[in-house]
Amino acid sequence: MFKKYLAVMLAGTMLVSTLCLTGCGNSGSDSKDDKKASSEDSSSGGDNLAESKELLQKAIDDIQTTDNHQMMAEGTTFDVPEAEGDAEALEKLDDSDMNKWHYYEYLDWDSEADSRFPESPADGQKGKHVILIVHGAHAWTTCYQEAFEEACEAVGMTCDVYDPNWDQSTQDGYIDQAINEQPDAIVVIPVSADHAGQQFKKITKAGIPAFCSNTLPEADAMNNILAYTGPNDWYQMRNLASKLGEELGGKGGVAYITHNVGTSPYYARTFGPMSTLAEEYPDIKSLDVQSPGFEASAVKQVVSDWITKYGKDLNAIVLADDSDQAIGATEACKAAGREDILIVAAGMSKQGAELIQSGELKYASYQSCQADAGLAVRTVSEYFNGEDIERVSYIGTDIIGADNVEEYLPCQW
Amino acid sequence: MSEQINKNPNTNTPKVDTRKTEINKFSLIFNKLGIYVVVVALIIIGLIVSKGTFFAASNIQSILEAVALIGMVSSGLIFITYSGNMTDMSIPLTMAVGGMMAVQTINFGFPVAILIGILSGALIGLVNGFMIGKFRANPIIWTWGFNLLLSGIVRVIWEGKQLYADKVAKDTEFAQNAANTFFSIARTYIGKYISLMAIVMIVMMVIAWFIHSKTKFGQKLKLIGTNYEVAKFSGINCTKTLVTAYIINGVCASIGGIFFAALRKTASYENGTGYDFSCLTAVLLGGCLLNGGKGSVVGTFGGVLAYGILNNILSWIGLGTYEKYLVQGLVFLFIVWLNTYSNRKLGRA
Amino acid sequence: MKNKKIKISANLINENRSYLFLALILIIGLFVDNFYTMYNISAATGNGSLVIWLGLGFTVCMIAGHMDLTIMYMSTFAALLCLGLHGDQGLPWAVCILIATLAGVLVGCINGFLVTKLKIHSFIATLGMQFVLKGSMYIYTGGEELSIGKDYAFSDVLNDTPVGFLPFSTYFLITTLVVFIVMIVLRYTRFGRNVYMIGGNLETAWLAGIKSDGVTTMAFVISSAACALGGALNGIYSGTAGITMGEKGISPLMIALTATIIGGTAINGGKGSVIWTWVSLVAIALLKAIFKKTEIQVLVIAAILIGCIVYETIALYNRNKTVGTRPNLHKEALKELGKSH
Repeated sequence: MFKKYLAVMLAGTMLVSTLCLTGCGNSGSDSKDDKKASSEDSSSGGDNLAESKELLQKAIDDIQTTDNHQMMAEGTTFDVPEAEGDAEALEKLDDSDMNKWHYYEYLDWDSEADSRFPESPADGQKGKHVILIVHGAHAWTTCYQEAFEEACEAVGMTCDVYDPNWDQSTQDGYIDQAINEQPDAIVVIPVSADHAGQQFKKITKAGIPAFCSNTLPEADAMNNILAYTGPNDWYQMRNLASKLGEELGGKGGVAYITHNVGTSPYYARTFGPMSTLAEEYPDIKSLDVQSPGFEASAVKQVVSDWITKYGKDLNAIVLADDSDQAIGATEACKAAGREDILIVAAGMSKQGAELIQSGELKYASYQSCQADAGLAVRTVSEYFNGEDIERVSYIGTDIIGADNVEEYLPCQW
Repeated sequence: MSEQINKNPNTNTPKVDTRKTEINKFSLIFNKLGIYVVVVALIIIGLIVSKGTFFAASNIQSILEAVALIGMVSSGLIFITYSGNMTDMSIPLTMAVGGMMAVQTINFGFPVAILIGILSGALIGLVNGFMIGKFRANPIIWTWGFNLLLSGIVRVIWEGKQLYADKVAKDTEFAQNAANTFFSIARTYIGKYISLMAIVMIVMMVIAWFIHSKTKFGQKLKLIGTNYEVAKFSGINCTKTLVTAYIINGVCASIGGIFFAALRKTASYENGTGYDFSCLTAVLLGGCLLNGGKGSVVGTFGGVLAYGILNNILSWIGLGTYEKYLVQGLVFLFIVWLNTYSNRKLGRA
Repeated sequence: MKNKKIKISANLINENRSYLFLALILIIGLFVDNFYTMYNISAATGNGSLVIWLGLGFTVCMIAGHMDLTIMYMSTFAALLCLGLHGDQGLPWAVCILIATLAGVLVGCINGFLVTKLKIHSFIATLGMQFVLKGSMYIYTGGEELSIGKDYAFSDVLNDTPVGFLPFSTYFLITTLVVFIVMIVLRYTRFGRNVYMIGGNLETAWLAGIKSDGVTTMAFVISSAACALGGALNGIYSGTAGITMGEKGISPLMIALTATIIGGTAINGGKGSVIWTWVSLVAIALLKAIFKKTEIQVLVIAAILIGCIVYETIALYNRNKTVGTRPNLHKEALKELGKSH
């Protein structure tokens, strides 16, 4: 009796859910129709390009990040030095050798092998549809997403955001879906640097302009990427390391806590400072490298163990993250009464800013999340306007200490 | 037990029961003293590895802190394992939901927020207990599926975002103070070295010990864990007892989750990841029998300590984060085997 | 008569839940833009193929009355091993895939040993093995991701759609083929029927002369080997393999479990079919193409899973209520009473 009842209920639920879902499906297609209609409207007016350029200029001038900096500022470029040998030879060098990291640090690709990119329509960005595929849920990502949407709205583009939650295969799935939807451009923050090549190859092959943001892809992936925008992680970490070396007086022991192993920030934020310190201050020893992840208690445990193990030899700690990792590390130092240990981190988050103000965190590098999104939108818009765009451009950076932290408050995330 | 058993009086020669009846000494020792032998052994290894600095105040403190959260959650999980339901796979999301609800309601003041956090944990326990106690759902499959459902609900409601207590708090002094109090609970030290978290953990363990060994509820649970059918037919209200056990577990997990959120300063759906495994390891290390009906809170406390000390020693040896997984897995398998083996030798499984 | 009709429909829903689910998804697909395109279907089924391998392993173990949690890390481990051997040692793909599959066989044997000889509960034993595998992976790769490098030839073959009119990639077709082979083995060989027997009642099976230890170990070996083969192919198909694969999103393990239960395989073993699991996994893969937000995906999949568990649990509860009673006699008596009235 009960079983029949349940069977009927199950069927009923399925029916109801079908109705709900079809409702969702319909609403989705409605919005798409709107978009198409609006893009037709705008393209029928011949002055869409002029209007777009005006909108873009206005957005560049007006939009501010939450910490009161220009959001869509122009990107900066760096010269790529000559590599000292091919990738395989460099791989054999010592971790602390600066040359080893050449191909990790610079997007040094062979531009002759570039694929044929889709031509810019040169009719203005207004009314265009962009799909953003981020890497995963995090406070940083939320901030980036919101800034991206704000910037898109300001320049007259519409955008959809997909979040694969740090999963490689899910991101692949999203890329397939994005191609299937045939948007005007796709912006991707790749989960994995190595795999980016294949992902962008797919997009470019489908004739959709592909942009890469934030995470550095492998150099050869640039053959299929129209433009890369993002922070220069290596540069800012090297600056931070120089500052740290100066503060330590050129001697002492440094230990490193890394980002997720294998990601581009893992190399930049561990071996960037390590190689800089080895080059500029040979007396500074690197003691240990650990990857406890982003859990405050795990980091605290690692740092406590270091303090007991190395004692007075431990003078400084370099962290890949200034939120959870910094909380764990500063608390471990405080608990052991070792406030003399200098802690520097890549930043910058709200927790990091608080720690800098209280002096527990000595320095953090400034990496503006919203400017990152702003630069991506700016580059995409410039592409639609038919302007020449830099293939690689970076956002500005700074080192934050207790003296200049006020300039960067309130924090973005 | 060397009496000759002769069930058939008609035979002329009495049959001698030659089956081995004496209990293996090693198994008995392991069963009784169990984990504390391991703890002492680990401490000795620790002293050797750390060249004597193992008892340094900072190290003791770091061990206590590392095990505080696991201890809190384990003090509830023991009731589940004890009642014969193996483990609760919904611990990660119970912790996450506890933390998130507490952070979300921080505007009503600190005590209310904590209370709501704990209540949400109790609610999850209630649902689990009802499905498993009343309808006899498969405890692993149900809690696992429920964990996924909770994760879905939490992700949709909060859109996969992280919650910060000081951002959620309104801009009034009252709410900001509540947020600050919330952060400080994971950072308060009584005396110089003993943290509040460790004390809460020990208090919870004592309460769990009292419930487990001094109340009627504990006795009923033992019977249910040993044999559900027998318990049912001897007039025990199994549903009520199991629901209570799951509520206790939910409350303990959510308290752990609240402290975790306070320690991390953020609450999100991924807060409790991995605690299902580590807490089960601690409970099993403490000599709790997987099939239920055997185990003690004192043993569990030992198990929690052993787990913390083992991790500490592994980092003394210089194992990286990843090699630890391998060692933890092997230790887990070894302990489970020893647990099963010794109980089989004792004839209790 | 009417009564009987309802009974049939309840049974129909129960036995064909997976087909119903797939039909539901296909109907919803009609209302979604760009759903029925070659590209979408082939991409969705291709990306969902890894989970089909996992579901295959999980279902075989579940039919035998056990749970195998190592499947997810097994496939990742095999993918890493395959790409690593090809990249570092320069072995041809066939050898790499073979070695990876052999690693799967080895892990399956270990699992079987832990469960049958050391008598550890399968859930707990494989929970521990999971971490052993995870640790070994980290040691093998040092935590880095491995990629296929420039060698895309074989990868492209797996990505192609070989049969013109069918929107399925080679990888998906291989997957399907293996699923059908396993189905035939389970249904039409003595070994297959033994698997169902030991899942249904281990003791009876043992008394009937089935070497239950051997069959159980074999079930674990099939499970691990299938996951290893699938993982190795997936590594080549997607061109990359990383340790944290699937850890952050909806865990593939969870999807395998969901599909197994939706398909109708009994939680305690003895009943089920890999085809049911296969159908539900295809449905889930297409479902992912409909609901694009991860959050909604998790919620929908979880809701369906919970619905099925609750349904099965309550059905079992009601069945157990009548244990020892004779419902038929009772009904007959009632009928006669009604007649006499």
